Amino acid sequence: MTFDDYATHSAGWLDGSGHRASFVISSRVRLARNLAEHPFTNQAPDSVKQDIVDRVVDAAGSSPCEEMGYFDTSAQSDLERQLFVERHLISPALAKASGPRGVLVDECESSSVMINEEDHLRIQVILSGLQPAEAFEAARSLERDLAGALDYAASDRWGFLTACATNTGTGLRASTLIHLPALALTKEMDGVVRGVAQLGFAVRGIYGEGSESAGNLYQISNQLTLGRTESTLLEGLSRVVAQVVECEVNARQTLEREAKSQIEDKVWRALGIMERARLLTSQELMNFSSAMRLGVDMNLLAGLETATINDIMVSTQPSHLQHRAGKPLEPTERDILRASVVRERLSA
Amino acid sequence: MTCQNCNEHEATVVVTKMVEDQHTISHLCALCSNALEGAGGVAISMQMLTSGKETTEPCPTCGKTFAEFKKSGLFGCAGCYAQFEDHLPKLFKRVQGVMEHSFAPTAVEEPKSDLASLEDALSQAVSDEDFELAASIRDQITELRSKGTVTE
Repeated sequence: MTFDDYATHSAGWLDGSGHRASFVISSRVRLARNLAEHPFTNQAPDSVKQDIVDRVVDAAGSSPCEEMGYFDTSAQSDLERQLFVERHLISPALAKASGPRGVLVDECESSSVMINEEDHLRIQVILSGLQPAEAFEAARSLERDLAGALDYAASDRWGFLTACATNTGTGLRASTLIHLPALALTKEMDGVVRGVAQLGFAVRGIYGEGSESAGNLYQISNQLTLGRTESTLLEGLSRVVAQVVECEVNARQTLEREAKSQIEDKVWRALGIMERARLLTSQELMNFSSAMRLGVDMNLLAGLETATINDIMVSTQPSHLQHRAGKPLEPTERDILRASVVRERLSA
Repeated sequence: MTCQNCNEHEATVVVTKMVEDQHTISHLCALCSNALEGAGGVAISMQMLTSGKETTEPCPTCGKTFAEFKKSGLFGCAGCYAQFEDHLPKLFKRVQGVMEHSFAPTAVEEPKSDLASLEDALSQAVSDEDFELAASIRDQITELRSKGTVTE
């Protein structure tokens, strides 16, 4: 697949399928690995970084993951790099780094392997819905396929050796992206966030107005990687997320019981604006998408699918819009094109 | 608000964590949020974590000194783990809550007993609200238990 193919089609993990998909948009797992005989990326000169890229790309070519496409991040334009960041294929750190580096990506954009980020390899799998264990199995299988030709840095005492001490051991970071509009509306989010943090998990909210997260989207991920097995970490995450989802279910029931008209109004107003607006800022888009997502979950918006909302969320980000326009756009031009893309998607 | 870590970019992410029994709320830019993902919070500096006797010899493999490691928070290669080993239990205790991994990285976990696997499947079926499947799994558990050959 070419860059344009990736830029224009919808990634597999946005299809709205999977366990608890009304609440959990995606589950992501990444494994940090380094090659035993090479200095880590922060100490490696460009010649060594190039050797690492060559070895990993060769290992992928002679393994069952041979069908993954390779993109040379160092040769991409800023816009192309940013577009891959918006699609969660590479991290902002890989986009900004210097020297030989790149990413292997499979066709449905579920699996990717960043080369020469903070660690030599960052193996990542994203799936729709709540399925961290399945994402881990896929990541581990990819890791094993590559291990046929690569020797990972590891020790009996410390587990897998990573550049940063916060990844040592399993090198595993598992996270889920959750939509929690009812907990935000009922002002219970702060308590939930504190409770989750207390159990050793970190909660990230996208910057919004006040203390609420834009689009009511939160990412919950494990903080610890050492001295625990992968399955303990994954089961812990699934358990915590299930509890948070339960709180959200209860909050939605409360809203339906006590503020049904207000919720319905919020949903229909959001749809009305998204269908007709001629200018949409990214903040507005996040907030209206959240109300529409809630509307789909509450069976108010027949005919609209979660996958469409997910697709709108990614395809209206700045670099996607500029790639579509084929030129750099000023903020107002982006708002105009964003509104136009949303109208087109909703009328399809 | 600007990012509390780099003081350069606009903060776009709010991160809430527990660090040493205290809730910490950090306002970070996307780059720092990504770089610090899972880290014990920006309040912990590597200086604080690794205070004490210093290893003066740099890593023989990559040349990184202990002072450089403390400053960047990043090991330079696999050899640094051996070179700075004396400091690591203390560092990991603070960052990860445990002093070592104690699981061989390539070890395959013990397969679960039939009963444990069935109990996992049962709780999954219940949370999926697939009560037909849950009932059938419950029957299998009862049958296993009645045979009295179960190792839990």
